[in-house]
Amino acid sequence: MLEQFVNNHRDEFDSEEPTIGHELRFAKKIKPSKAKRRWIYYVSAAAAVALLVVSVKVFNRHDVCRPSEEVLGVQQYYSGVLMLEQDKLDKILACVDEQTRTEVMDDVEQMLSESAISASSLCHEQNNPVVIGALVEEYLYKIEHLQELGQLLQKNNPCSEIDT
Amino acid sequence: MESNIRELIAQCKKGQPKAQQQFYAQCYKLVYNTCLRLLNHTAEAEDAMQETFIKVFEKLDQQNTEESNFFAWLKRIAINTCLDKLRQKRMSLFPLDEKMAGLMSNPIVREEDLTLKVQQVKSAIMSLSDGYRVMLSLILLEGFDYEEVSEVLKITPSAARTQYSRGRQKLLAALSGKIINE
Repeated sequence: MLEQFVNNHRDEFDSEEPTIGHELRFAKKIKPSKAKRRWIYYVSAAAAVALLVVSVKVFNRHDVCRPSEEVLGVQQYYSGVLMLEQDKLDKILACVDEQTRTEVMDDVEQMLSESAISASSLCHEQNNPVVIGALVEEYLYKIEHLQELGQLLQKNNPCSEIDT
Repeated sequence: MESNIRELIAQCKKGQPKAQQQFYAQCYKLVYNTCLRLLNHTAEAEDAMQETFIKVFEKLDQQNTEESNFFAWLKRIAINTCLDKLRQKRMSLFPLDEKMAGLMSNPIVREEDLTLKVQQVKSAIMSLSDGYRVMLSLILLEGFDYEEVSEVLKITPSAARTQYSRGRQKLLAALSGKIINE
């Protein structure tokens, strides 16, 4: 009877969810393979354009709801930091060839436009500290990723003398 | 196995982080719930779940992903990861006889007298001691047989059978509101 009951309600026994932001925390734990990293050197060219697109997307994503003061503050501050990273990458990416630039653009744009925080959470729980924490964490992840990209490019790029 | 999952796994084999994240997004719930039942702690369950996926990505090359038992393999890694964590905490996965002695005084609960509800069963399992919780999780919810349990817990199949039977009775007692001290 007990076993039958469990079998009949299998899905309901697997219904628990981890805390908000777990996908982001997992993304941080994944390290790109060496081959991927080498590819990324050449890739980051498109980041400048991608960053611009992303910054716009990040703001637009919340247009469905009026952002709270706190969310707005987080967005404004971290978008500013993202723009600074964009300027740095702009200089580095000028040295990368056209083809890799396009590849990088796609890659970076996707990374920056994806979000583990649902629009619904941002809309309805924007005063929830957990959601705001996750939003900050997400911005930090993207900033770190771009910084790492810039460092790798600088290290391996012929334009490495550029002061970023 | 669905073709999109198979394709994702193929990309994960190449070490593509995006594919790994997508694979994780599709399968995390399966692994998380197993980990949560075994560890009974949300943060530890999340750690174990993510550790499981990282191990899986590292071992994908050695695994035949065409096999239908791919998800069983994934779950087995999750279970072993959780059991290792419990062992590190020196938790007793196999209660001592004296602990069981108390159980013998438990009233026998007739299953037919119980009206089962999922949330109550889940809560009752989580209220049991580590040994019983793990045993019931493996057999009742993960579908392990006694041989498989004996393998992962390093006990004999007959001990697994006894332990499950006692854990099951303990669970029924908890569900009937006649829980006895462990």
